[in-house]
Amino acid sequence: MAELPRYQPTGYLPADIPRLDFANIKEQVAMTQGINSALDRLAGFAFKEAAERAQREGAQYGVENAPTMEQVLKAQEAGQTPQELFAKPGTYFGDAARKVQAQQVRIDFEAKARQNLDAVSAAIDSGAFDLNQIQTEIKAITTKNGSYRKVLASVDADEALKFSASITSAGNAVYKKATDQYLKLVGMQNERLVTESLNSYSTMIADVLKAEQDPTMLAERIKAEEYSAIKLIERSSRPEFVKQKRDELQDKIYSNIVDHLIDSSPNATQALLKLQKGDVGNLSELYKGLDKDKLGAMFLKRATERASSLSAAKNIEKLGNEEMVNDLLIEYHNPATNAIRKRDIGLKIAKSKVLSIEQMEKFLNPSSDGDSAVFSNISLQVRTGVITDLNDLRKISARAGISGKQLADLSKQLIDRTEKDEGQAAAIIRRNAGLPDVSVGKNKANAHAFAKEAKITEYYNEAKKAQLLDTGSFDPKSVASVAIQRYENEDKANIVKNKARTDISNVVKTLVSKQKVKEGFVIDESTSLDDLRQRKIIDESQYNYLIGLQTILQAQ
Amino acid sequence: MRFSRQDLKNFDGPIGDPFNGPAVNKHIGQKYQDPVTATVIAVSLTAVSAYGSIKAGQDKNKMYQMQAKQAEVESDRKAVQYELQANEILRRTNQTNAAVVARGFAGGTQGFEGSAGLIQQVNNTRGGKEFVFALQNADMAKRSGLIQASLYEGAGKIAEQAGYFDAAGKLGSAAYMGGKIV
Repeated sequence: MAELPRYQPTGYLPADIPRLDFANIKEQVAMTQGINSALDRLAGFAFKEAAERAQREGAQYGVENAPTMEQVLKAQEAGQTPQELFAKPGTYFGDAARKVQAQQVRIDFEAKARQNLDAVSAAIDSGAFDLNQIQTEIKAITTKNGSYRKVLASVDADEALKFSASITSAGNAVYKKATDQYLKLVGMQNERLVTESLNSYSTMIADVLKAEQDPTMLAERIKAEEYSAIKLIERSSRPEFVKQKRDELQDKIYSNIVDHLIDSSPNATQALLKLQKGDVGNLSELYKGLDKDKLGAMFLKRATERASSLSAAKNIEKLGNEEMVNDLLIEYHNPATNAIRKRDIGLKIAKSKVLSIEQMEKFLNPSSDGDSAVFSNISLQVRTGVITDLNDLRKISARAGISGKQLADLSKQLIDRTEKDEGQAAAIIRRNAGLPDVSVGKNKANAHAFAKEAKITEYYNEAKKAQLLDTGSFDPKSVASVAIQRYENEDKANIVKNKARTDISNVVKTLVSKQKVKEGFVIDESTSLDDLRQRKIIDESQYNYLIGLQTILQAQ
Repeated sequence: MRFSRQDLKNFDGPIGDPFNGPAVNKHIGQKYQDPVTATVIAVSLTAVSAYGSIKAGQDKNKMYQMQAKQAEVESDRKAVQYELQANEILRRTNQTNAAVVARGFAGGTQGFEGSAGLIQQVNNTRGGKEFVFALQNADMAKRSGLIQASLYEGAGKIAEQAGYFDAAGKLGSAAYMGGKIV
C-alpha cells in the first residue's frame, strides 16, 4: 500500500529578536557629556583666574618682600640656606613671589658684577694695566659670580642662567678689550723698536759695505741684515706700517749702496760710469740681485741731494760773505774809519770774491758820486717796498753803476725799512696773541697771551732764519703770518702733547715720591723706557702707560 | 564728478583730512582698541551660537520623530510578511490533508479515520507548529517596531533638551567672560 502524503516542513523558525537602537540612551549620554564639558570649561576659567590672581598677588608680595643682596650674602656667609629668605615654592602665590624675588636679587647681583667689570674696564681704558693682573681680576669676579649663580640656581634656575649668560658676555667683552689693548701696546712697542732699529740697520749695512771685500760674503751679509730687519718689521700687525717700513728699509739699503759707490769713486760722474758698466767692485754679487731701475733712480736722488747740500753750503758761505762785504762797505764809508782800517777793508772785500775788481774800485772810490738819477730811483723802490732783498739791491746797483757810498746808503735805507716792517710784524704777533700795542705788565690773566706771543715769536725767528738762508733777505710781515699760521696748526697737537707731558710728569712725581728717581728727573719723547724698566725704576703697567704717552709726544 | 584712473589708485591709501591731518586707519584702530565694542560683538555672536544650539536640538528631535515613524512602518510591513507566511503554512497543511483524504477514499477505506486520520493529525501538528511560529514572529516584529519608535521619540526629546542646555552653557560662559572684560 502506497504511503500517504505527509506535511513537508517549510523550515520556518522563530525569528531572532530584532536589534534595537537605544538612541535615547546615546542622546542622554551625549547631553551629560556636553554639560560636563561646559562645566569643566567654566571650572577651568575659574581656576585659571584664581591662579592668575594668586600669581599677581605673589609677584606683588615678591616685589615688596624681596631679600637684598646683602641679606642673601650674609645668610650664605652664616652657613644658612639662602632659600629660606625667599617665598616657599609649590603654590602659584609662592612660585610667583619666588620668581620675582629671584629676579630682583639677580638684578642686584648683575649690577654688582657689572660694577666690578666696569672698574676693570676703566683700568684698561686708562692704559695703566697689566694683562696678567686683568686676567686675575676677571677670574676673581667670575669666581664670585659662580657663588652668586649658585645662590640664584637654588632659588630659580632660569634667573641663574640669565645671570650667567649676561655676566659671561660682559666679562668676555672686557677680556677682549684687555687683550686688544694689550696687543695694541705690544704692537706699538714693536713699531717703536722697528723705527729705532732701522737706523741701526742702515749703519750696519754701510759698515758691511765698507768693510767686507769678498763679494759673495758681502752679498750674504747684506741679505742676512735685510732678512733680520724684515723679520722685525713683520712683527707689526698693521700691513700699512709693514709696507712703509719695508719700503724705508729698501731705500736705506739702496741709498747706502749708492753712497758707497759714490764715496769709493773720485766723483759722482765716475761712480755713475762705473755703475753703468757694472763695474761695482766688491758689490758685484749683491749687484746681481738689485733692481737696476731703482738703483739708478736712487743714484740720481743721492747725487742730487749731495749736490744740493754742497750748493747750499756754498750759498750760505756766499751770503755770509755778502753780508760781511755790506757791513765792511758801510764801515768803509763811515767818516770815522781811518786809512789803515780802510786798507784792511779793501783787502777783505777783495778776498771775499763777492765783488769784481772793477766793482770794488767803483764802490771804494770816495770821489765818485755815481748816477744820482739811478740812485734816487732805486731809493724810491727801497722805500716803497719794491726792493726788499739785499741781493737784489746789490745786483741792481752793480748793473746800474752807482757808487759804493750810494750802495751803502741804499743798504742802510733797506735795513731801516726792514726794521720798521719788523716792528709792524711784532705788533701783528702781539695783537694775534691778544696783547695790546701798548706795553702792559704780565699777570695771571694775560700770562697765556704772553706765552702765545713768545711761541709765535719763536716761530717767527725760525721762519726768518730759514727765509734768510733761502733768499738772503726776508719780508717781516709775511714771515709773521707764516709763524701765526704755524702756531694755529700746531696748537691742537700741542694741547694733546701737553696733556701727555702732564701725565708723564705725574708719573715722574710718583717715582720721585717713591724715591726711585731724584727730583728734576725728566721723561720725554727720547727717554728709553726699556732702560727704565730694566733698571726696575718703572713697573710693567707704568711702562705700558708711558709707551702710549711717549708715542703721542713722538707724533708729528 | 568724474575720477581719473590715478584718483582711483589713490583711494587705496589713507586719505588725509585737510583739517585733522592724515587718517591713519583711525576707524580700524578704534574697532580693535575699544573693549566694550569687542565684548558686545562677542556676546552677540555667542547669542547667535546659542540659538543655533537650540535649533539644532529641535531639528534633531524632529529627525528622531521621523525615525520613530519609519521604525513603526517597517515593523508593520515585517508583521504582514510573517502573516502571509502563516497563511502559506496553513494552505500547505490543508493541501496535504486533502491529498490524504482523497487517497483514503480512493483506496476504499475511510478518508478521516484510521491511518488517514492519524496522518492528518500528524500533518496538523507539524503545520500548526510552523503556523504558530509565523504568527509569533509577526507579533514580535510589530512589538519591536513600537519599542524602537518609542526609543526614538525619547531620544528626540533628550536631543532637544541637550540643545537648550548647550545654549544655556554658551550664554553663561559669555556672560562670565563679558563680565571679566568690561
